[in-house]
Amino acid sequence: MKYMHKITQQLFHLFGGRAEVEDLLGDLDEVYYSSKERSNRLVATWNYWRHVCSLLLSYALRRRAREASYSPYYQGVSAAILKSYLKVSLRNLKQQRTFTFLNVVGLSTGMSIALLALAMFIELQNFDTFHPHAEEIYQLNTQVIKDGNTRLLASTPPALTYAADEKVSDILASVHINDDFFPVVKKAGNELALRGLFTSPDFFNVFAMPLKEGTVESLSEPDNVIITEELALRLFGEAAALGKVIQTENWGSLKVSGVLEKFPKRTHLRFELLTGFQTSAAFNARHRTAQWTDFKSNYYFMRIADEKKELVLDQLERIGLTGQPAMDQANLSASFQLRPLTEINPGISIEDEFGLVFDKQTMWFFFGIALLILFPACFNYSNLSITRALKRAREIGIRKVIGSQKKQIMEQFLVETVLVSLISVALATVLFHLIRAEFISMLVGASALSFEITPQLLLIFGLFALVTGILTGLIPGAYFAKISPLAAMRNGVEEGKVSISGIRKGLLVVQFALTLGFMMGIGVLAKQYFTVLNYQTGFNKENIAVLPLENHNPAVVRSTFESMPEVSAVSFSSSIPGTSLSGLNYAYFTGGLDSVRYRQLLVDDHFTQQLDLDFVWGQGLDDKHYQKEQVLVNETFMAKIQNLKGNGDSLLVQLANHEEVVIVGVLKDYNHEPLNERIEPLLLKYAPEKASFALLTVATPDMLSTVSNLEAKWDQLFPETIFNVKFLEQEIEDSYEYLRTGMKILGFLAILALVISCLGLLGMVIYLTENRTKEVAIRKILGASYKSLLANLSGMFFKMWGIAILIAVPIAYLIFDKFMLGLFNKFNEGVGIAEILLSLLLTLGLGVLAILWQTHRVVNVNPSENLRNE
Amino acid sequence: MKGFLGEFEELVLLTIANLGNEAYGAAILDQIAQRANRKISLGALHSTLTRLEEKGFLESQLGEPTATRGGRRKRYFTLTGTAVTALSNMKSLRDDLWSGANFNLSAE
Repeated sequence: MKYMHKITQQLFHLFGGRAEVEDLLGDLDEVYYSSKERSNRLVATWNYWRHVCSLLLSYALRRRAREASYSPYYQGVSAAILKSYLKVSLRNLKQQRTFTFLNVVGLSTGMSIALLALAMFIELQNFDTFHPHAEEIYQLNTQVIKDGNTRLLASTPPALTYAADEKVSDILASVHINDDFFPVVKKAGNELALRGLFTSPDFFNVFAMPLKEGTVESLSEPDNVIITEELALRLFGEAAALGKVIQTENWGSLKVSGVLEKFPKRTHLRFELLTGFQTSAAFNARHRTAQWTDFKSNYYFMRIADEKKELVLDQLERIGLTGQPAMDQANLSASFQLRPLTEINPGISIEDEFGLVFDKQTMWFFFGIALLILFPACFNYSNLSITRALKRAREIGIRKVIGSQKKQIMEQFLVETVLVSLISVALATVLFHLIRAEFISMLVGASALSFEITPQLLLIFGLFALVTGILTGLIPGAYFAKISPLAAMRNGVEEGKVSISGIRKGLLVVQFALTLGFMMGIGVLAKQYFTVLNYQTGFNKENIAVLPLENHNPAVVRSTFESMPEVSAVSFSSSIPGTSLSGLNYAYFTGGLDSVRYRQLLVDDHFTQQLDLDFVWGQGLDDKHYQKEQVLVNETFMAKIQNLKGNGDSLLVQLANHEEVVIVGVLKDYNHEPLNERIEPLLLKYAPEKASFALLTVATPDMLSTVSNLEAKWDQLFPETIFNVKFLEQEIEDSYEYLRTGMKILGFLAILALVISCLGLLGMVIYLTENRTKEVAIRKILGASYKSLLANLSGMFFKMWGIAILIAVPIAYLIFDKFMLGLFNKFNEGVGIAEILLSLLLTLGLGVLAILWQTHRVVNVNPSENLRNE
Repeated sequence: MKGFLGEFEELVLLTIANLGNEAYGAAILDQIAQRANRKISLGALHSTLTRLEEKGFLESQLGEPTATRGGRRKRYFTLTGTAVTALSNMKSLRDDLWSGANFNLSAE
């Protein structure tokens, strides 16, 4: 009972302040004892606390608390008092320019990433909302159970969906989509894989994508395509696209029968062209048939009135039962779910996903990083404000003596913080504007995000600033509200200690560790980047110009360019060495069953010589025709094919199209593909007429004039195609773009972290030195040297750094060496001493500058000045 | 007169009138629990008491400390003249309505 009393008293004090509660406590007691007499103790205790809670939240206590508070002033927040808060805040901010500057810079850097995350989140909320009845559109998902494993797929069996179209009358509109349509077109020597969808004219009943020209019905005809405005611009320029024919490598010629108007980017549908299911007879047959088990890439969207949802799902499940026999054969069972279109983004990523989906997990990770940056900035703000305690103690003391309440002091500080955070958010919005283009280029799929600054977004940014401001202001506000007025008036702040609390030290250490981590990340990636560029790939990459052939005759190209004095060698290839190869092929031993997967390169007879490829055995290709075609392979190919243990001639190999070829040479393994790809079995075939690129070795001191000479020749030969030269070294460098992107992301984070932690450090140093001005003056008078004073003042920070280094280096090493490089593929021994030292040096260098700047200022002042001013 | 009397307010006022000089929080709570068989919390009761006081229906003063409640004083409530008028107005209105009712209300 004693404890209960104590707790209750505390609670009443907390909720009611000075309110008169004696009679209430008495009532509580009386009720408790009478209840205990009537039933048992447990019931009584339970009732007691029930009464306590009801009293705590009751009007009675609130009313008594209000009566008891001693201030005669108006209790609420009026316009006049807000104005006064604002005035005092503005004066304070103006007076302490350095601090305002540090705070605003720190907070706005911290906020910029958070704004990015916020903007992204809000934009994702608006995804696909522009379709009419967007909230009534659903994607049908399939939950498959096979061998006890449950998988959720975005796709649905076509047998079900076609039956649903006919049998379920409550489906207001529906569309079938298959995204397995990637027509490849050749442009400037590069193969462009376009993103296409198989669908039907129903597409336009469900999604709001108006046509600019052409007709919707044209999709019912085979080989017709409706393309987006952007693709039209890319393929045909300003010329009218309607009626033009797109020549593709894998789908023949497709006729443009319609062009879409520009539609909002905020949709998860990602396509450049649409075609009807009729375009591919074979595909259509497979798609149409009662296919229950193999339904990858088949999607179904439908519009259902909200109240009919359950009914439709029920009917679908029933149709699903008719497919059960087929599923039983494949040993699986399926059930179906509706996924609202507007909830796809940001949503849960499921298997066989259609279009662009940002899953919630990634969003949370992103928010986590943003908070990791924002939190230290807020902490710095609180820290810097408390640092000002010495300067502001008198102000607060006087306020308190005249009768200001805790609450009012708190409000003053909250207003001040909110003001600073509003200024910061304005600056952060400018930063956001500057970095968004870069961000879009870095993130996969971010091109669907516009990051447009709308009034709605600005309002949300404002709210965000308000919340950040209030949360940040709570700590310094509470600190100042607690100061006793007497102590404040007499000798500054009671807590005018020279020490800095453990939590603050710890947070500073964390900040530095974070910065160090990011800095090391940059170092690691930079090292990887330079290693790959200087790596001995096994072929000569110097002075080789790459010309896209554009279907011109290689013989003509050879004869033209070989005659030029600057060009020492010409060869042809289907792919640029050092970049990724596409396509997989299979090879067998004659009569064998097992196959080797290999990558194919179509070259001419000069290729191996021009690139200085080493032979392990045999000789190069020549341009003569043999009964069996001659090929070159690499060592990996040889090793793989030997494993198959065929009988007969080990040099005779059968390719997937039943063509038999003879291996005439084995090349030493070289990295034809970027270093992050393993060396795959490679097969070189003589077929210059199918090559896409001409490789020219140019030896010249004056590259510029040589290039213009080449261009003149080209224009003379092929006036209708544009001369488009690249250099092998440049091409290879570009294929490591992802490393540069990684460096950019980490670099940006590092700069943010560095700025924030340096500001935090600066604030701490200022706090420390200002508290110790008098001490320093006395020490100086007593004869302390400049050096010993510096050491004395800055010693603590070096200790903290030591701890930060001890924490950060091993963790960063583990993360980068074991985890990050595992993702990126490690090209060298991983993290080295050099980049650790370099990142340490850079971070510490800036920190030391900040420390020395402040300590120097204090130490250098004439001690008598300091003493007099105190 | 400020506002109308609520049903619960009327109940509280009548209970206080019944208790006479012994009308304080716990006692009122106990009476209501016994007579009306209603379980209400102290918070609800005291809120109502406070509002009735604000409306001018009640007056209250602290009593003398006694040994029974750990020396804590009780707050006694008494009805004001307005309360008596309001209650009797209420009663006469009810009587009026009862007598004018078109069918027998004293249902058994």
